Amino acid sequence: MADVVLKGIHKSYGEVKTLHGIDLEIADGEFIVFVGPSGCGKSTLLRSIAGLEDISAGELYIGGRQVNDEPPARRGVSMVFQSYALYPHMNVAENMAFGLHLAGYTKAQQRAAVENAARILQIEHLLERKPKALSGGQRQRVAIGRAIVRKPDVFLFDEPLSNLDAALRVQMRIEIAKLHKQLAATMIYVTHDQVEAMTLADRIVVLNAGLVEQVGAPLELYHNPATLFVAGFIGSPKMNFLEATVVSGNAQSATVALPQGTQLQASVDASGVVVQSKVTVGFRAEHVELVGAGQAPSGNVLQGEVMAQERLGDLTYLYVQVPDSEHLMTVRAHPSVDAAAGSRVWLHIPEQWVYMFNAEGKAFARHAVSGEKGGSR
Amino acid sequence: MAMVLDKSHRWRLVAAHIGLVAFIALTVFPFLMVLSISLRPGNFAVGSIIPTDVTLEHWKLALGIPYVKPDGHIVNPPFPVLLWLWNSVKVAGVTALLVLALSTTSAYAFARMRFTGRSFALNTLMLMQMFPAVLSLVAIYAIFETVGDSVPKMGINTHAGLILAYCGGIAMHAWTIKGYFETIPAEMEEAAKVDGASPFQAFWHVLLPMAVPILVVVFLLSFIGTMIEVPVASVLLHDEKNLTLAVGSRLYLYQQNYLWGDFAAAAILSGLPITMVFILGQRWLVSGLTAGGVKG
Repeated sequence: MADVVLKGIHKSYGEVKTLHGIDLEIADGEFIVFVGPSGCGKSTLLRSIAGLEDISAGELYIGGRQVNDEPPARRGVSMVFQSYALYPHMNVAENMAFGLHLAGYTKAQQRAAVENAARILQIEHLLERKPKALSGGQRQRVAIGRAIVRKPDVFLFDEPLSNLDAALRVQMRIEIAKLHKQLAATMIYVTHDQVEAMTLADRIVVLNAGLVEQVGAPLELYHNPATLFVAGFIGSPKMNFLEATVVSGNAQSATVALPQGTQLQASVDASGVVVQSKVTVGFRAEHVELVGAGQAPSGNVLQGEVMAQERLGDLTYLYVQVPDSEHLMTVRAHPSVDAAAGSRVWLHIPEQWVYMFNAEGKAFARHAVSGEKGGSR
Repeated sequence: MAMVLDKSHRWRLVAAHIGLVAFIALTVFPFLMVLSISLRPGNFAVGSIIPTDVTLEHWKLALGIPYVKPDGHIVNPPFPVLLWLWNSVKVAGVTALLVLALSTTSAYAFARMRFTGRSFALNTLMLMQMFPAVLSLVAIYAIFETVGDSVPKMGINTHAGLILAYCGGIAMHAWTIKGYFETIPAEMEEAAKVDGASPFQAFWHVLLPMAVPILVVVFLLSFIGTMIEVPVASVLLHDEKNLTLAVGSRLYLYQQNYLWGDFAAAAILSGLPITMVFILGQRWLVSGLTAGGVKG
């Protein structure tokens, strides 16, 4: 078991820089998820920790020991690859024992370790098979088993579930979470799927263009995104954004005007904001309240036309065109709502659920809503 | 066949078969011809393909057994054909193994390592190999004469020297193997490295076993190429006892007397080791060795 500390990690391939100084402290036994769009450097960062890529500048400590120049085998890490990377000419047991074999363990020790891992992953009946005779989910288990057998200090997962179908992915996700509890090992997990990040992580690291955007517990990122990027990336469906101009602002709230003149209130700390400056306001689909045409809107109401609706049984999504934006606003409505395309709706966005970001994409601090989980765990 | 076929399909099928049979005949006929010559009494190149009289005189001589003519005259085998065959097998076997060792390791470097001058070296090797070997005969002779001055066991007229000369020709094989290595995902070796393998262990335990089909192909090509090679062997080997079969069997054909029958028997004999090595190697020529390693 070990903690992992990254100090100013830079990575460049010749002229191309992919990581621009990553600082991160990962506690012993923590489940950390690196998430971000493709090309953000999350896999490169993981491979740098594994030792499959050298670090151009910065320091990497695993268990208090600087390992910048150590080969992968001596870092006490094991890795599960996206493609599983099982050795096709070896059977499952040999695949799992390969690392122990190289490390000079006896046959009996190898067998004991393999059988133990196989029991944890329920693949005991597959030990004699070759990888080609396994299904995708079974291969995934073997790949994880190969990682477990070596009893590493740190587990590294590189998008391990992206080759599985949706149902199996949910199942494996739960099993990985279970495995983390069982082994109590430090795990670093890379994914582009924010659902995996939200469900598995103790803390999520959101990466964008080789930089850390925000580090925090899943719900903290969900409720208090530090940047526009994080707000747009975490949460499904994606947060709705509108361009706006500041009308007034103080420590308690801000008032902004949308392009068509509609005004919105946001309860954020906008002290020091420059009037007339450009901002982006955002709100999540589930925070929108539909109000009827007859009800007098009390402010913070957008009028729009439904372009499409998706009735999923447990809820309904409406895609609404508002005059203030060319993008469609996503609205989560009660499953009984049936708003045909073309019908007009009024969207009330409670001011405590309006997010606001400055022109650089930095968020204005929101005033916490009672009952909102997040923050420190 | 359960598939519904057009009526004209039948005629196309017949035409295709005629074409294939003609092609096979083209391949098999020379072999049958040589077989026929080797079984025919006397040393005649021309004659019916099915010999009217069958005699084993040429085969006896090729196998080193004295032959008694009907008039009681004993003909002793003029040449040590079996020794030549052994020389050929020895040289070809050792050469093929060394070529395999050299070409796999260099192919690994070219496929997996990044170093300056990589593509230049690859292309240069390939271009140099394209010059006919005959052009370099004089150079090879000069080189091995010099080598022989300091290391007599590797000079002219030694098998070690000949093998060394053959080992120069690995560029094609290195290219072939490199192409195959590049189809094997790099994640395989990365997994091995995380598992604690040194680069050599990753190469040896993971990459090579996955590349067995291409290794067998290269071994076979190299073995066959060496078995039938004449120019370099004829320049480097002089003593009768040192010759390979491909070079030695030409001694049957001298200006005044073409011993076609004896030559034919020796020629067929030289094909035997090739056939045997091929049959042995065939079981490894299975495709799909990498199946199941990645994705699903």
